[in-house]
Amino acid sequence: MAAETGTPTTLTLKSNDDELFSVAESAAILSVTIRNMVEDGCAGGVIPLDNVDGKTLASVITYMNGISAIPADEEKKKSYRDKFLSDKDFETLADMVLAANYLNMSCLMDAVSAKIAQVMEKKSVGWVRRKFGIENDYTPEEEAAVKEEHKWTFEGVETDDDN
Amino acid sequence: MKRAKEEEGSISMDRISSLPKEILQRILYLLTQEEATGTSILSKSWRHVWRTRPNLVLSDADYFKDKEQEFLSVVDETLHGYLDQGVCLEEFHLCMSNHVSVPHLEKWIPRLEQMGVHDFRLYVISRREVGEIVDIPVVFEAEPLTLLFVFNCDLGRNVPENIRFVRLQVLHLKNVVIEQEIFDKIASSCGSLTDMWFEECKGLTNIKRMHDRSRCPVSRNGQDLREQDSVSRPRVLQSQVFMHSDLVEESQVFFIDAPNMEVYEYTGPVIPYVSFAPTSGKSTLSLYMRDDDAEDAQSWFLRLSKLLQGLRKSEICLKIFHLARLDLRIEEDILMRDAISGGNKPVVVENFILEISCFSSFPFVLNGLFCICRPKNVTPHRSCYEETELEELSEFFRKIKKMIDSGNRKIWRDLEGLTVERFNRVQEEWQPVINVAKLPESIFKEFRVRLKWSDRD
Repeated sequence: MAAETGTPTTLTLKSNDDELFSVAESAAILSVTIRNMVEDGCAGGVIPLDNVDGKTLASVITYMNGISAIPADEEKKKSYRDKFLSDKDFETLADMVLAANYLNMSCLMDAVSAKIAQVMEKKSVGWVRRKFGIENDYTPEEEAAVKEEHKWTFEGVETDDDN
Repeated sequence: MKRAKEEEGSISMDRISSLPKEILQRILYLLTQEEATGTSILSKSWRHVWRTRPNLVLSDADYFKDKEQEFLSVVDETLHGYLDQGVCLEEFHLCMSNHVSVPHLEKWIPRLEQMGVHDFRLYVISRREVGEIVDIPVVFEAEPLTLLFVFNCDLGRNVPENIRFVRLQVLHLKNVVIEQEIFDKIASSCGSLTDMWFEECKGLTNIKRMHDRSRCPVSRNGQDLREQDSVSRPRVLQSQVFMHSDLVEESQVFFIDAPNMEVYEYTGPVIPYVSFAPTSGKSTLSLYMRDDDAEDAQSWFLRLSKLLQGLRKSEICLKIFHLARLDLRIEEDILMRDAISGGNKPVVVENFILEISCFSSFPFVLNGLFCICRPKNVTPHRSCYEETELEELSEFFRKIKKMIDSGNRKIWRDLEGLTVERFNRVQEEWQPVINVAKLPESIFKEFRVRLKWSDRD
């Protein structure tokens, strides 16, 4: 039946919590990791993705389908990416960037990295620590020493901590 | 309450710090140097992460102004950091505004290749007006150089044996003294050059691009896909040349040879010779009208005619300014014969802009101009019009009409129509002016004459 003309090849992906997902091969090969498997002929059965959980994989597949439906138009692809990432919290973004890294999807990787970088732009150290839950493990003396070492960085930097 | 909030925050404790290094590097890549370096203070695990991001952007402006030694040691130490850790630095942007620190490039440049740098951008911007001598042959050996900005410097008299700018894409020289021979070597070494900008370059008389070497193989380890793409893509060459009057005498012969030029912009007192024939693209020429002892109006027009012929296949915008003389002697027949020699049709000029102080001298210039080209639009340029000037302008438009009626039949027989137009900013379009005599009462600010020419030779 699959040989019927026009029927796209479908792949089955399995998350590390054993959820199964069907996705068109044409969309899935946005992941270089999956593309290599397809090219090596190991995509016949179920493709296990040991480093991605079901929730993240569902999200990545939504992205794969969405972006591959857009014809070669970088502007439109970019606005799709922006919209796709706009409502994601940092927790989800971290999961996605790890998944993108594992799946070797550079366009998603770049987009999520840019989104995270955007959060850090023009922000004070205190703000970034709070936002990302980074614990300051420097002693006050150590912190002063690091600050002194990179004096050129900390002088005259305007921060914008309101958002 | 506060405590509970903190604990809630600690459930998702510090995901960012635990991300793999290559992801953190990618995130830091997108921040400014200050922001990236600033992450060193977040926590111990962040202390040195910034030293591994693939790009480094350092400038001795702002904070480092008058702290030259501190700047030099920061550059030194940071580059060492990459070397010692064996971390690949891909992009390095360095801006130096104090010529005293320039000799330090001798130390840094030879290491860049080994560090993996494939995008080195160097800005040497001397703060002084008079050019400092930057005689640093090592710069010419910087193979990863992709962009070179030099302002207010003298590049010295020593012609280097080899210039290895195989990746150079942007060359921007302003108020630079450069030996022609050095420039020729630069030009012949950069097969990737897409963007040239020259402003007030003493010593430079000939801008010559060698044959298109855009496909010359650049083989290096670690060359990424994006670069390979750009190597095989057809070159888009942008060239902008700006010269001002004080260099006129030295630059009498100014020769430009650059095939595949897409955007060509020239501003200067001397009409350059071009030996290329662009097949498309845009040419924007801003020229000072010369009618002094160095070049009389007649030969000025002859040179302009040659230049326009060379650019005939591109969309030409011609702007002439600084016009003061009232009467110019022009042999119309000679100009016309020259312009159509070789069976060429008169060159079409998309827009001809005149920026002058005295409208009454216009017809003389226009006569000369109409002998050598066919402007589609003639636009007198003024930033604003006083009422008296609007009167002059309406006089000018009337004079054009008169000139056509009584002028050289050979030129005007090709003219099919003439409309005076004004620009309506609200509707964003040019509209015909019904009554030119009423121009002084007009509320509009921009006017032009639109000319329709027949296609015959």
